[in-house]
Amino acid sequence: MSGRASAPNMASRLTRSGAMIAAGLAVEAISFVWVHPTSFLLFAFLGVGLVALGVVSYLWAIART
Amino acid sequence: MAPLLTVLAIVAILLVLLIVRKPEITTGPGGKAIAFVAFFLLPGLVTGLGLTRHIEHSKRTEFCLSCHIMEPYGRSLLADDPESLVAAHFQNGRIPRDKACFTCHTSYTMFGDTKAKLKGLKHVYINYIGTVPAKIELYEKYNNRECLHCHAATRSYEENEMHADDLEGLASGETSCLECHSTVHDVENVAGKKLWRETLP
Repeated sequence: MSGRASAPNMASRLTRSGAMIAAGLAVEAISFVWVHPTSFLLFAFLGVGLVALGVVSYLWAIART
Repeated sequence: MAPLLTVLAIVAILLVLLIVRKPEITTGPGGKAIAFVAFFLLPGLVTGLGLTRHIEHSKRTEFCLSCHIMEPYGRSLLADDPESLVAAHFQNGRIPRDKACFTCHTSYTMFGDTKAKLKGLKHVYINYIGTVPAKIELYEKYNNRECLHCHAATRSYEENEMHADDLEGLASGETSCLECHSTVHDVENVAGKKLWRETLP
């Protein structure tokens, strides 16, 4: 084991983190056009959570390559 | 700011989806930079600006009044009642109308805004998950500091006979402003009151 991720592994990690980031950004985009305290909760807990998980998973993936 | 943020979020989503569909573009140095922008910088920017936008937006009067429970409090701002402290402030422009609730219900201290936001989160929790009390009350006694943030050292305040007799007591909080200005939201009676306007200006 060299510790380096193979190209298919990298692609699957990018897919996973990309899906989380895209979903998080979509939730955030919806919250920007909806004026209600619920939209803040949606943004803070779901949107930020998904984006943060996606970004961390992306950084983890590139750190391992 | 909201349309710009939405567009930025959509651009970031499209870029992320492009890289997910064609991961081979990330193999070159240019591709790696694009991936870094799409997977890190743009989401970070959208989230950071979004948080600022949401926090600023949460100071707005219509945000506070968007929960059903706050309806009588919103109505009290429009009551045609010269005795009402909140109506007099709101209708005469003594507070910014677009941030009426926040202006009087934040603490004018170093972390006052943060504390107000945390209390706001607690309100949302109680509204959705907890039990809303039959009578809504402040967490602590209303502090004169919030009134004096605007009124202190103003001529109309200091030269008023009632104030002039007890400026020190009012400044220290020994005498509460609400002892005399006792009609605040008056939500128990607001339903029957005539309104200055039907909707918020």
